[in-house]
Amino acid sequence: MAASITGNSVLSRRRFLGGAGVVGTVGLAGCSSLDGVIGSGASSAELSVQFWTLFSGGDGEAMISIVDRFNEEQPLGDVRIDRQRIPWGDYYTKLYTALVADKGPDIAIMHQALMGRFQRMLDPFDQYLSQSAADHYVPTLWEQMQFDGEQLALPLDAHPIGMYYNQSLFEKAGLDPQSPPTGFQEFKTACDTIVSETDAHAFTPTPYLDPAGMFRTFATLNHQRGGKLFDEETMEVKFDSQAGIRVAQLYHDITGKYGWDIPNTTENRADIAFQDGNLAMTMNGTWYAPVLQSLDGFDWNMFKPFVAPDKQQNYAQSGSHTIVLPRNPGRDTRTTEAAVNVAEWITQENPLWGTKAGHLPAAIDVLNSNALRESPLWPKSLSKFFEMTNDDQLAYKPRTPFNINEASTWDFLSDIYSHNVSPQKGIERGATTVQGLIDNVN
Amino acid sequence: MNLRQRETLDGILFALPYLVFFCVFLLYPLLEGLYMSLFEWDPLFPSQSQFIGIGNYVSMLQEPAFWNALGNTVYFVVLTVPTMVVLSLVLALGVNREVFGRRYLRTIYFSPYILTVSIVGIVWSLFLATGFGPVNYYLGFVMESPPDWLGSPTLAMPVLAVVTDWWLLGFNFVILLAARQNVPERLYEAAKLDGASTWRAFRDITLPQMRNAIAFVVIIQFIQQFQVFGQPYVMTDGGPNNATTTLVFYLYNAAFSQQRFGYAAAVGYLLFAILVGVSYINYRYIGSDSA
Repeated sequence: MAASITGNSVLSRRRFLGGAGVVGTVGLAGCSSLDGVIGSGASSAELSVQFWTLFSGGDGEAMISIVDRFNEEQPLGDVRIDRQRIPWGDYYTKLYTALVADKGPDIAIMHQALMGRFQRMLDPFDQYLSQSAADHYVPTLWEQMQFDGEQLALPLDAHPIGMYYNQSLFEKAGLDPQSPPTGFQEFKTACDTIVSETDAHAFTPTPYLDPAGMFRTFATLNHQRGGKLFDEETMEVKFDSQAGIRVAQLYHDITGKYGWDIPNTTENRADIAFQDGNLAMTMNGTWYAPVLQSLDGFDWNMFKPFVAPDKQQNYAQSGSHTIVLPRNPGRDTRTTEAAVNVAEWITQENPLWGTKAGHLPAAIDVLNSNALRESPLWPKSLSKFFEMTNDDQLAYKPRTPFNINEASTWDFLSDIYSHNVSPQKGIERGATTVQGLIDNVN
Repeated sequence: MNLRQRETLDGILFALPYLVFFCVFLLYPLLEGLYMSLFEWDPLFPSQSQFIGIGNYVSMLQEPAFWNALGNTVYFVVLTVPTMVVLSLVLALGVNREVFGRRYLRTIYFSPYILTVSIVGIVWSLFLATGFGPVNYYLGFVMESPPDWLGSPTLAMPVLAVVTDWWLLGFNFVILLAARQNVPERLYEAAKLDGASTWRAFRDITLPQMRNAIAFVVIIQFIQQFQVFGQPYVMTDGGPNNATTTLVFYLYNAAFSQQRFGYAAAVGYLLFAILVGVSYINYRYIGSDSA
């Protein structure tokens, strides 16, 4: 009886293993046939360049259009771009993890401020570029991409922040939408008037109410007051100075004694309110312009965000998207050269990055192109950002050794805004956190 | 090969695939993690990592943020595990009775469990959002300023606990319902003949008979809730004011935001020790027959 049971179990196990083998074989066949399908449209000499991006929304669509155009026109012969989009919030974690394992893409989008953190993981462009490569880009941006004398990235754009406002609400409050505020007193008067004359909120530092957005505006206002974020070597926190504390106090007052907004940082609350006409002003980056332009009948405009109390200088915080060449010991020279050429093509041949994504292109020819000036975004946002660039009014994010875009780093600003912590305590907490991040790296 | 040898060989062959997976995906990472926790780990060039002995463990115990995360985690466990066990027990006992539509009730109670934490987190975040969430929209009719559920340091963690209870109740409910259905009805009939009250029957029959199942649920939930990550990651990002930064969230940030992999491994090992210790205590005093 036992033998019979054993015999049966062997048989059924064989059947099972056989079945599993069939399933596995079919699965593998499926994989190989999928590869075959993917590769069927490509010639044997075709080269695929892996390109990771983090864009979504308006600039996400623009980047899709750029990549699609490349793959249709094939300006570099048989080279194709294989674009992978990774959500913004996870992007640098995934990129870091991939690069640690030498499994990164051939080229990747990277914020200029993150280059310090990724420095050891990037291959310099220098040996693959012609001598005249620098001539194609805005010099200040080109220089921002250099680390220890090496060109670690090609600049794609500058994306400073501006003050977006609802012209209809300005009119409703009796304000002149053609004469937006140019300093704190005018700004305060405008905010107070909007609150008293309309049902709308007056202002939020960011439409998303996220820590990263809170930081962009904090850095802008702090800089306008003459404050610094860090010392020159990015070794010591400096935003806990009087300038920083004053901006923190302003954050507290916006949702407190000024009553320009409510002390609540529910994500996107202000974005919805702004687009619904329930918020008059908000600070955001270049990418917000195409979003607002796409809203039917929404009467928006933008002014330079120089509204810090006791302002000493006109500055707006700016980031810059770049394309980097991640280290990858397994990548052959042909692929690397193709990847560099693709990066040059993306950064130099696409006015769409300005006209559709709303950013200031880093390539000089594109920045001065008619396409940019004929864009509907030019009079409202791009021309003002362009002026700010020409007037040297952009303060680029420092290249910190930690991820400066990490939300949790700046959540103390959200807590100040929502009155979960006092401005003084909040700034102290933030300074301790950020100094800890610097110390850990060093 | 005789029958005994054949059966032994069969047993080994059956166990082998799992053992391979266990060694590759559990044992090796476990040992590697212990090794990493003794270094200031350089993920890019591991060979350049600096040995610091128990330095990471000492740093961990000296960091206020660690103690805040540990305190938050314990608070979350205290909020979720007892309520989840009690509620699922009540539901299981209720549905075990001949109530109308109990088949549908079982499905309804279990259905949230099939959702992923991302969906649960996003849906509840939208549900509770200020400005456009339905909860505060309707509360707005009876309250001047409805609470900022996920933006208040006081409310955020209890809200995460309620969401977690709602989400995971079904799993515990099914376990306890199965356990209750395995209790012989003759025990209740005998108790009834002896004049035992419903409470007495519950205390002296139901609870002892279901003790192993309850212990299982407590241990599983304790382990699961002590490792809570998805809910604060999706719904609060550890805020506000670090009020929902749990131990695993803290570990994740240390590893992947700050690249302190050695330190994060040390935090992971402490978490491992806590879970083993408390699971043992739970098993010893709730699940053991000698208790």
